[in-house]
Amino acid sequence: MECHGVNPEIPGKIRVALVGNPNVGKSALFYALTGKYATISNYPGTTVDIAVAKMENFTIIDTPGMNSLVPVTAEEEVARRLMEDADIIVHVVDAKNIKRALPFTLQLIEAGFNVILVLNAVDEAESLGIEIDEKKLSERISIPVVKTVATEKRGIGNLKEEIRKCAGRKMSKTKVIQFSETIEKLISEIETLIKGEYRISRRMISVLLLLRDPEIKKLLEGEENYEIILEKASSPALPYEVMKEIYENAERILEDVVIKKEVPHSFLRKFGELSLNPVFGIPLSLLSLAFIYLLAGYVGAQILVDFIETWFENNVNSIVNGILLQYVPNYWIRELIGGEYGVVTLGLRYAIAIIFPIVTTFFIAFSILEDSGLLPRTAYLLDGLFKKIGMSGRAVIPLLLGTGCGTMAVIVTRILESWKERVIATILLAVGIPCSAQLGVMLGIAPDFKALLIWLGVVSSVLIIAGYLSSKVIPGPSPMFFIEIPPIRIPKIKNIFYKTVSRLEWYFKEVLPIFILISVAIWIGRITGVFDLIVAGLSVPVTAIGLPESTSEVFLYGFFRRDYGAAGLFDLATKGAMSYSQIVVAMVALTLFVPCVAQFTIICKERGIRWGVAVFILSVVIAFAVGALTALMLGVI
Amino acid sequence: MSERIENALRDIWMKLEIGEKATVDEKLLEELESEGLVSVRSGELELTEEGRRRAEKIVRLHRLAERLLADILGIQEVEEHACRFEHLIDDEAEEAICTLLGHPKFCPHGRKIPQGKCCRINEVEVEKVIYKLSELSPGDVAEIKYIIADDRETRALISSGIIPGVEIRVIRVYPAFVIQIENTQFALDKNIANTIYVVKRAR
Repeated sequence: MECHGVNPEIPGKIRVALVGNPNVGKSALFYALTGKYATISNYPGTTVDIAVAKMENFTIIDTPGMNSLVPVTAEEEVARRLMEDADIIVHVVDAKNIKRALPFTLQLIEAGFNVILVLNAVDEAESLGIEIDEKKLSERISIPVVKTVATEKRGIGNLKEEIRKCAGRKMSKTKVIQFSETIEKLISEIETLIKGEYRISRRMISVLLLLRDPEIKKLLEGEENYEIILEKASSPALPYEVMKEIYENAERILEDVVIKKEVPHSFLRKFGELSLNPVFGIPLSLLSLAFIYLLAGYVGAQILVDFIETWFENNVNSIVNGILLQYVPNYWIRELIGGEYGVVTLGLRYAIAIIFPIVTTFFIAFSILEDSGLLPRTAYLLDGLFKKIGMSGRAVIPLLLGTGCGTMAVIVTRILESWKERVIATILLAVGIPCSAQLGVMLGIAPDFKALLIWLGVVSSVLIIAGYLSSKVIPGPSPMFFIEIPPIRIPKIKNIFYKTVSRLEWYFKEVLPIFILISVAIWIGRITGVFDLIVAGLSVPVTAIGLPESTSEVFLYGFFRRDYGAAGLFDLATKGAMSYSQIVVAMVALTLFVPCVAQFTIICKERGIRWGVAVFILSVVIAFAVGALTALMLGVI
Repeated sequence: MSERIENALRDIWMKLEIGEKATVDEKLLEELESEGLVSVRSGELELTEEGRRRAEKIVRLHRLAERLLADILGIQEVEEHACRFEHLIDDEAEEAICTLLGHPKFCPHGRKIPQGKCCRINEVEVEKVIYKLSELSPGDVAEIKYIIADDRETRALISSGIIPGVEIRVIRVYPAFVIQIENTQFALDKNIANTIYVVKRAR
């Protein structure tokens, strides 16, 4: 499997991988250890990229959340690969869930890894009346155990000390899991059949085989006894029976290590349970969505964009154009940097004055929702609805993120469990989910509220129909909804800040070069006359749906940035070049038109070129077909 | 019918079930043939109509016994006990056990349990002990007894610690199921909730 954007061959002397369940504070711990902030998430599996940073002469790797050595999602597979390459494994667990987490620690020890166990968020555990004797636990499992509160940097000094001590330590073959006679016999039979050398111990490979781990099967493909091994592994012992025995071992180990006292339920806990009730939860989810819109769609897309863009136009564009006119006699060179579509006047202006305020406010709003634990609750409430369009409630996460930036949302579809769900979500994101910049412009362009309602009605209908049809046509098993619901937490301002900064850093690294390239591409297109040809080609369907010929240019530029197309539309509308109904038709067609070039590139990367091209063609067809229907409905044609 | 004949029929049925060749010693073969329970065609041992009917019955009893011993009595090594127990179950007890267990489809080893009359009419007269998670109500506390899911669901469940022996509390059943294990809550859809079989505990 490809590890997106990150070279799995991570350089550095000693590699330390932070592994563990989602929501246990791995990324906060990563920050506490390295001073760099990785995207932390409050719902399973959303560490978008793997963060790598230095701590002294150690390379610390923050891996996506995983629940056990048996991977379920694509991200968990990445996590396991990274783990196999590491020298030290820091297993981070949520102290209040130690009973459920210890089986994984035991598997890591049995696999032969150099493990440190971190009991994080001990403050939350203590507030629930859970006390853990870490010294006793450490003695029983023969590895260091450290208590931390990562968000407050408590216990970090001790953890650093343990990491230093563990460097170069050779793991003795500790046997911490004792299976029943039948399973032990089976394991040792399989173990003796395995001849190759692996990073994971043969004993653990045998256990994973009994747990029906498909990755391990692939790993053993070169074994001379492969067939016999598989035959042995398909024994009557069911995977959950094997896992049950691992849990029983963990329970034995934790006897008088964990002491539980009764404490009254906190307000947040009661609120968390209440938020699962649709009567209270649905309005709460709607309020969350309204909050995102208020922050990104209004404060970001309207107030801040207005302010920064005006400043940019007055202080940067005019000065750059002035200098160019004075010192650069060649028209085309002037156009490359300045003019209407130049690297500075279009590329930089877009990246800094339009996209920056919108994505910043969106990331802030999204991070608050993430850290509060509201997102998985929205996913749970909407599962029934999403099932009708072939996806599970989890899909709400990428789709919602798509209203911020479709490109990033396509990457986040990785959290969806099946290939089919990922394809459907990608199609919907490409076809009809407007990004925040586009949403802002659409809201500005709509002549009145009725026009906005027509636009919303048509686009939502297309999304539902496209989802429903895709779920019928695309092969694959029906979606499965299974998600951990984290406790409701009050988001910490510091966390929101660092998270937003780190996401912006990622966004700019990916997006800014694309903006510059777009300006250059437009420039080349104009010089060579290719654009004129494409615009002429596009003018056929554009005029067919009753729009003025000048709109074709808007559609073409919309491919380079969706919102740019929308902005072009804004210009035409304010110039009075279109009637009321034509504006509505153009709004619909442009929203449904092809994803921007950045999103298109990511679709090709994530789903393959064939799907990228298919989605592209599908968008063009849908945009003009639905545009024509809307035009007919409104009497434009 | 003697236990020896019943055991032989069960073993032949189980071999044929997984597509393997069944064999018995000569003396037993003669006995089975004379009772019209098996026939030999081109060197392969086959069950006659009557033989199949009786073998299926004994396999059903064996696997029901295994389920009863494992789920209700909590016995781990069920094979040997089930071999003795299966011969003691009469028709009435068979239906009662099957209904009590909620008409299970698989034995603890994951093999199919042949259906009985009671499964076909889905009798529920005897109060059930084993429930599907999807049949519980908010506030119910239960212990997971077994899971009959496909590989992908099984992996998701076991990697989150949702396995037999674990105690769960049902928080909500609509719009999806929410269960609590220790201090963690999970939301799951009805299809998955249907694969988890539990025994209720006092609230």
